[in-house]
Amino acid sequence: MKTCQALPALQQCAASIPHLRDLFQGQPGRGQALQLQGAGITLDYSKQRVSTEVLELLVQLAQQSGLEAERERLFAGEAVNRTEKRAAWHTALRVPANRQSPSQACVEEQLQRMSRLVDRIQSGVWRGFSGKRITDVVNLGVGGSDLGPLMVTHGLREYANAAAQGLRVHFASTIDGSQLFDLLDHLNPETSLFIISSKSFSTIDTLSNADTVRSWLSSHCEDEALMLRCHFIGVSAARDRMTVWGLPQDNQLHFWDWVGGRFSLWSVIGLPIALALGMSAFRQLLSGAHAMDEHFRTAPLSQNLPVMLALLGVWNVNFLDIRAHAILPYDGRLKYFPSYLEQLEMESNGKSVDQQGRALDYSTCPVLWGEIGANAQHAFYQLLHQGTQSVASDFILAACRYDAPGHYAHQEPLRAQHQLNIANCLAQSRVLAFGDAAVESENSPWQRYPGNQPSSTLLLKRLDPVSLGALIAAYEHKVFVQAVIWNINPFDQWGVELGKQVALQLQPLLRQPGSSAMHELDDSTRTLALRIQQQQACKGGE
Amino acid sequence: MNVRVLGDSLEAWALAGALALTGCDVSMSQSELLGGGADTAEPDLLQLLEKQQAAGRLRLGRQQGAADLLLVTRRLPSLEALQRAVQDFADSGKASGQPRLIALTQSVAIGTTDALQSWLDEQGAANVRVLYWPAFVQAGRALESITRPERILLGTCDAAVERVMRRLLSPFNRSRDTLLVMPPKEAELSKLAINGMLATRVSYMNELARLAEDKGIDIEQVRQGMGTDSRIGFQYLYPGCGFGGEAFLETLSQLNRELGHQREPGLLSSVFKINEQQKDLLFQKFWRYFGAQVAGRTVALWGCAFKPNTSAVEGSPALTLIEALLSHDVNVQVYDPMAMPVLRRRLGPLPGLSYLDSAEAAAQGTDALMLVTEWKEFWNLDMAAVLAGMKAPLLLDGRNVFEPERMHELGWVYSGVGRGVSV
Repeated sequence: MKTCQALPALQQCAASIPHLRDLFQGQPGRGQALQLQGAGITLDYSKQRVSTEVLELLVQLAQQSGLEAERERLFAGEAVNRTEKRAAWHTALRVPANRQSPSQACVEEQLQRMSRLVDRIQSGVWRGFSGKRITDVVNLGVGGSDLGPLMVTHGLREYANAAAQGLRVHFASTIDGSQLFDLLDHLNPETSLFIISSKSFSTIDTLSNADTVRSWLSSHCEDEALMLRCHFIGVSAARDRMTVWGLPQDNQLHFWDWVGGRFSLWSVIGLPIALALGMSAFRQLLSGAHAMDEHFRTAPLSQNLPVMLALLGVWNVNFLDIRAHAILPYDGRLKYFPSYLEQLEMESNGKSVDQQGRALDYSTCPVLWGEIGANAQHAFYQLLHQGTQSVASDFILAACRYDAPGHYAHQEPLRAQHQLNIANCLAQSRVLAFGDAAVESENSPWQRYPGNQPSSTLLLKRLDPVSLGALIAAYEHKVFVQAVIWNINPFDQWGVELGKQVALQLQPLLRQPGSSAMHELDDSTRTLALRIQQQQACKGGE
Repeated sequence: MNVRVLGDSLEAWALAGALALTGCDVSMSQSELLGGGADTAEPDLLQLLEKQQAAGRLRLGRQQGAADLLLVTRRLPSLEALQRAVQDFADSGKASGQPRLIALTQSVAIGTTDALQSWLDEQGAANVRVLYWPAFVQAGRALESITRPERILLGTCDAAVERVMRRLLSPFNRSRDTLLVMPPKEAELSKLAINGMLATRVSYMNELARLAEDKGIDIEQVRQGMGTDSRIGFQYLYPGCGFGGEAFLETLSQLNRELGHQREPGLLSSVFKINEQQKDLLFQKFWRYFGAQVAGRTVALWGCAFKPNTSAVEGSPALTLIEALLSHDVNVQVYDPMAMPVLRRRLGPLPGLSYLDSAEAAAQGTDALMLVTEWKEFWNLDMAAVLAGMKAPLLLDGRNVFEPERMHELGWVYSGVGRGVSV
């Protein structure tokens, strides 16, 4: 980024960029001009603090960063993940079967295997150890093996096919076993199936959950081989580790090291999605993502939705110094979308070393968080409207809802609620942009709204498997484009490793009160550990 | 009396035969006796129908000729469909101005009889009266169900209608008056409620059988203990691998719809659920016995009719079992004294499924024997000889036909339903 010719001009523009109110005043038809479409999604970025000149310069910045060449390498399956020397070929997972290259044929093969499994489980052919049909499936996974499937499953529940509706799909991710503790309380071991989902098959969070389940099942089924065969499916890129854990070959689904964890919901990691919604919804999800891939690959940069999302982000972070980004879906079904994006964006681009290993002297990924928009209005919007932080926001909205021809009850009042929801979404981005100027203002200092908080609105016609696939893919590519501009590797995550190692060091120490190794710890950690040991020792209370 | 019968079910034929027998002039649109897919095997009924046809009292295939009574035995999906079905009869009745009757004999949505009457009244055909006359026809003894009924239920509030029906049914109501007259809605619900009660008893016994199996208790003795209580009686207390039968299941579904249990599961949904589990029970035992290593094995199925003395397979546990077994690459050798052609028609040729000519032949070379229908011919077979031809000694008795101790002595691994041995 530092060497791009567009940089000084962008910095100059940033210094003199007018208030959003004035940008609109100076540009009639701005709403129409600053809008683009890709793969069925409309991006309105007229409420971003950009001028025509800024937009042109940002596109130059992308070009000067080598985006087009790097994008080609991404789609060709080249080793764009340089630190780990491998491809990040999630786009290959979404190529339709009839257009897959020979090296992509393995994708369809695994999807077919997954499809057969889904069919067996949903139709009741798959049996538990006692011969009963499966009623509950629990996905054991964390990070990319949890957030994506959870988000999509929750988001598209209304599209579940009839066969899927008989099956309950649950998610357990936390290392402390909290979710399992709740689930095992009411699940029937005879009719529960567990998916162990881990790319490396060494994730301790997931494997410790799996071990707990294994011990729970063992107390109901003495025959270990039978229990493993009837109650576990492994999803991983590490075949050998699955086998060592005890999973029979037929219960293993594979993906490849060129699929990054946070880009893996499109692979067999999506098994819980297919189980909860049906294989056809899963295929539609892939097709939506593929449509966005094609848009990203072929649309001119200035009309390219993921590219524009990325450029606006770079502009806000690096030129307007806005370090926070809120994700605000106005749709209860997208409850888990913000946390999904937290991982996608912050794990990908939360980096401070460039591709060559040099420390950066500019900002990369902002802090990103979010919530269902209308609920967040009653929570952190106060800070957005009147706080001291500049925050950029993405509003996400579906135009149509509750309009299926099915005559479900309360369709009219629900539609009215949807209209109210839309009104709220538009009102908030309007007030954020224009502040007091949006309406007749009050004079009290506590009722002043400065405005000028930038936002984009992503408008879907309706939220369905196709549009959600496209929406997710748009953010994936946004992340990639930003990484190219920032000259960082978005596909590794070395930052999460050290904590895991240290936890492994600490674990044995905690088991041995008074161990001499405790003295090697820093004073704070040692004191805390001792306090915990004390409290654990006196179980009856103080 | 001129009677026209709409429908081609077992019930339709039994009613037609029985009424012709008493001198009625009965007509049906079917062109051949017991045609139209009535998968039944009722030798006495067939004989009777042939005789009545020869005597000219049962006429097939003729649409013309005015009837005094229209029996609607066909199950129709909606009131509109019912209206369409009786339209011609209503029109001619209206034109004649004479008193005419329509009797609905199937289980119907509650209120159907009254709704049809209102519709006729609106059409200006108030001389055509509708009543509900539920037939309680049991497969295997269909004719007897009509001619020697436990009771006759009539749903009508019209004294004239009652008089006509009483006269018509007097041949079947001689030794004591079993005729019970009540308003149509009450009669409609009675029909549904009876079947619901019977199903509930069976599922209750199946739930007890599951407990018995876990606790090493023999449900057979418990059944005796319960049945001797006069408040309970012995009827419908047999645990087993699930009840079936088209009419029975249809009636239960109708009752379930009436109860409107979409939001919270009521008693009847548990009754259904238990029954579905029972149909799968023998497969589960087979699965457990072989520790899930079932692919490539062969299973013998004795009986595929939903109960003995019928060729009907609708709702039979055999269908559930065949599907489950084949989906696990288990070969199935089936034998049934009567229902094989029906099963073959229904399933068509399926890889892994073969139809054998005798019980012994079906059991030959198999890893497990499942008894699904308690045909009399299975009770006293030479089970030692059958065992000798088996690859594995597993006998899964879905109807508690065999004596556990005896089978054990012969060398079988025997498991009935709730007979104290869990597999």
